Amino acid sequence: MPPQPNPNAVFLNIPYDQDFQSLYIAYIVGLYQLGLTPFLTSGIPGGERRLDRILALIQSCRYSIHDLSRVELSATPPATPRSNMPLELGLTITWAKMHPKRHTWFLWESIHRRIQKSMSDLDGTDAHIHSGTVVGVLSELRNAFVRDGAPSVQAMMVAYSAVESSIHEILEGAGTRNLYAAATFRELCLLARGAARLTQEGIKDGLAT
Amino acid sequence: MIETVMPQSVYITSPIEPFESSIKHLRIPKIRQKALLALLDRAWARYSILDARSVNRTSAEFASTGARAHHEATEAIKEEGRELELTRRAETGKQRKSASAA
Repeated sequence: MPPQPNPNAVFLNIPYDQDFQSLYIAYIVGLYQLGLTPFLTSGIPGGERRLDRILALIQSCRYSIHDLSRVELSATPPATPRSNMPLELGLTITWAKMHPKRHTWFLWESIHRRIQKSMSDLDGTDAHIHSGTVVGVLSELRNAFVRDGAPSVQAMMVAYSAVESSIHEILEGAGTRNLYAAATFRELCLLARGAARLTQEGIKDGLAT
Repeated sequence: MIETVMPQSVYITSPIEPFESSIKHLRIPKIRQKALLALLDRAWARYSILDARSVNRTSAEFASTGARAHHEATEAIKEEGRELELTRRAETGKQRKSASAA
C-alpha cells in the first residue's frame, strides 16, 4: 500500500498544447492561491515504467483535476485523438474507487453537457465548466476547493496577471518556448507560490479579500 | 455506466505549507529564485495598482479600458525584463573581457 497522500497535492491532468497555456497558468496560480500544490506528469521520463510512475504520482496526490476540454483530434497528421488524459482519468477513477478516502477527482470541461457525449459512461458526473477562460478556471477552482479565507477571484486575477507577465523571463532563462517542460513548470510554480504569499499578505493588510 | 464518485466540492482544512518549505521540492537555485521573485514583485506592484483602480469601475468600463491597461502594463513589464536581460548580458561580457585580459 502506498503512503498516505499529501493532503494539499493536486494531480493536474491537462493537455500540453500552445492554445491551453493561459488556462495552464490559471490552474497553477489558482491552486497555489487556495493553498494547494499542483503536480504534472511532464517531469516523468518516458519508457516502460512511465505508467507506473504516473500511477504513483496519482496515488501521492489527495486530489486530481482532469480537464477534458480539448479531447479532440490533433492538428498534425495523422489526425489522432488525445488518449493520454482519458487513460489517466481511468487510472484515477479506479484508484479512487478502491480507496475513496485517499483520493477525490474532479472533471473539468469548457462546454456544458459535452462530457455526456464524449464519455457517456461518466453520465451523472457533473463537470466544472470553465468556458475556456482564465476567470472560469479560477472561479471553478474556488467552487471545487472551499477553504476559509480564500482570496476572491479578483484578487486571484491580480496574481494571475503578475505571474503571466513574468513568463517571458522563465522561457528566456530556460532557452525554450515550451511552458510545460519540467524545469519551466517548477519556475512557474515558484512564481505562483510567491504570488500566493503576496495575496495572503494583502488580505492580512486588508488590501485584498 | 459507472456510479458517480465525484463530489461537487471539498472543504479543505489542511494547513497551508509555509513558503520556504513549499518551494524546497522545486529545486531551483537560490540566485534564480531571488531573480524570479524580484521580477514578480515588480509585476505585482503594477497589477495591484490596476486592480485598485478597477474597483469602482462597472464591468463594461473594465472590459473597454481594463484590457488596454492590462496590455500596457504587460508590455512595460516585458520591456523591463528585456532591459534586465541586456544589463545581465553586458555584465557577463565585461566579466569575460576582464577574465581574458587577466
